[in-house]
Amino acid sequence: MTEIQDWDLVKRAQNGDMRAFTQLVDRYQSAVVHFCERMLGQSGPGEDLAQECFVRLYRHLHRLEPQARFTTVLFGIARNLTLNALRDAKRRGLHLSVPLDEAYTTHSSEPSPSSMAYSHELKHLILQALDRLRPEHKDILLLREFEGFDYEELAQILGCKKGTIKSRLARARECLRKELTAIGVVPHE
Amino acid sequence: MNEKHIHSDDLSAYADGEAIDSSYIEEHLAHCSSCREELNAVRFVQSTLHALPRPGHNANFTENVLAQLENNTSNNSNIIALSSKRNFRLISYVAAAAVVIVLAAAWVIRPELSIIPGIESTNDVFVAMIPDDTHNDYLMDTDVPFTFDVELLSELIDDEIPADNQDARMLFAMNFTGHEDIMVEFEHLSYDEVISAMAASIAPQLLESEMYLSHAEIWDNLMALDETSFEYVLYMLDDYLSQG
Repeated sequence: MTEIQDWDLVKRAQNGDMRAFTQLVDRYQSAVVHFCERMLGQSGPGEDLAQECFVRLYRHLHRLEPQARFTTVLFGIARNLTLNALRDAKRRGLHLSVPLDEAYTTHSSEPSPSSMAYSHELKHLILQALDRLRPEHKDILLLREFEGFDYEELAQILGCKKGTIKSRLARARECLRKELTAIGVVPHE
Repeated sequence: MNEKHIHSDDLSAYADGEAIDSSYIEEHLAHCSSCREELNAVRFVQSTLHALPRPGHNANFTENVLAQLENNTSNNSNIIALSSKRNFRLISYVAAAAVVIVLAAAWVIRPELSIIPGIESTNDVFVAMIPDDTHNDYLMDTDVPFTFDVELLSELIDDEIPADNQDARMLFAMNFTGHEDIMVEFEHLSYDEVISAMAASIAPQLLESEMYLSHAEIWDNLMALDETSFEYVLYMLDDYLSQG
């Protein structure tokens, strides 16, 4: 039902209704900021990029036609922008990954993530593990786990086949599991 | 029992509710502790990520977006200026995106272009471009439109690279779109499949474009450049090479 409303808002915004566009921004700002922040990690300000994402969306409103979920378009733009920002940061030597030995440590005897209230430390560790992933693993995990895109939608956003989504997602999970294990965050037996 | 374990890709898809044959996987899981462990590991990663909090609603966010839109509107004269095909910036941006393929073609059509130090063959251009994706940045960093003609690209590769040199053909395809992962993701596919994948991979960027040029138009624009503009294109290529 939200999807109809989304495209309805897009249509109204295309006709110059700024309130409709504002509603779209309000509706998705949190999700887009989250995606950008997680993608960039310590490489840059995610909120600035999220704002740029909506600016781009507005600029290309006239091209949009109802198709799939509106968010596949929105996150397609967000993904392109964050990949660009990561490349720029890499080129300028701005990527600031924290070495493992400087990270917090925890122990396998601690409760599993699903059974405990998340502490600040644990969140920090998970973000650190996420930040260590390659961008093409990070984006697919974020889009799947947080935004709930199915494989068909992921294929559309990432511009590849469904079979590629399946294998890339499996690899991304495996990589994240290794990173989590390396810093001591492991499943509770 | 000699039954094979479930592939990790299929277990991951099963955890997402996207497995093609769920009943087969469930039957196997019922008696295979190794695959159950593997599935639990997938679910652990899922639950770990799900537990991360999202940022809250920021009241200033929307205002900031609207303020940026106002600023952009006042700078619209720049966008209008770009609409001319002969405009230096437009041609430069488009040329930057297309520079590899154009220069590859130029070797055949305009041999006198081989003035760039260190470049003596089309293969040098391919090799030099491998680690760099600057041309793709231009596609996404600017509002300048760009599209490509798959058939023309296909013909060009056919002309330039022997059919049995799949690696070189793949590199060409990969560099053209700037998608490094094409090499990884499509290495087992045929050349035609790679070309199709490229078309799909560039689709999100096309969404951001404002005007479409065929490859022939890009080529015509390049050939019509004045000397200064063309030097600028060559400068860009030189920049790629020095980074590589």
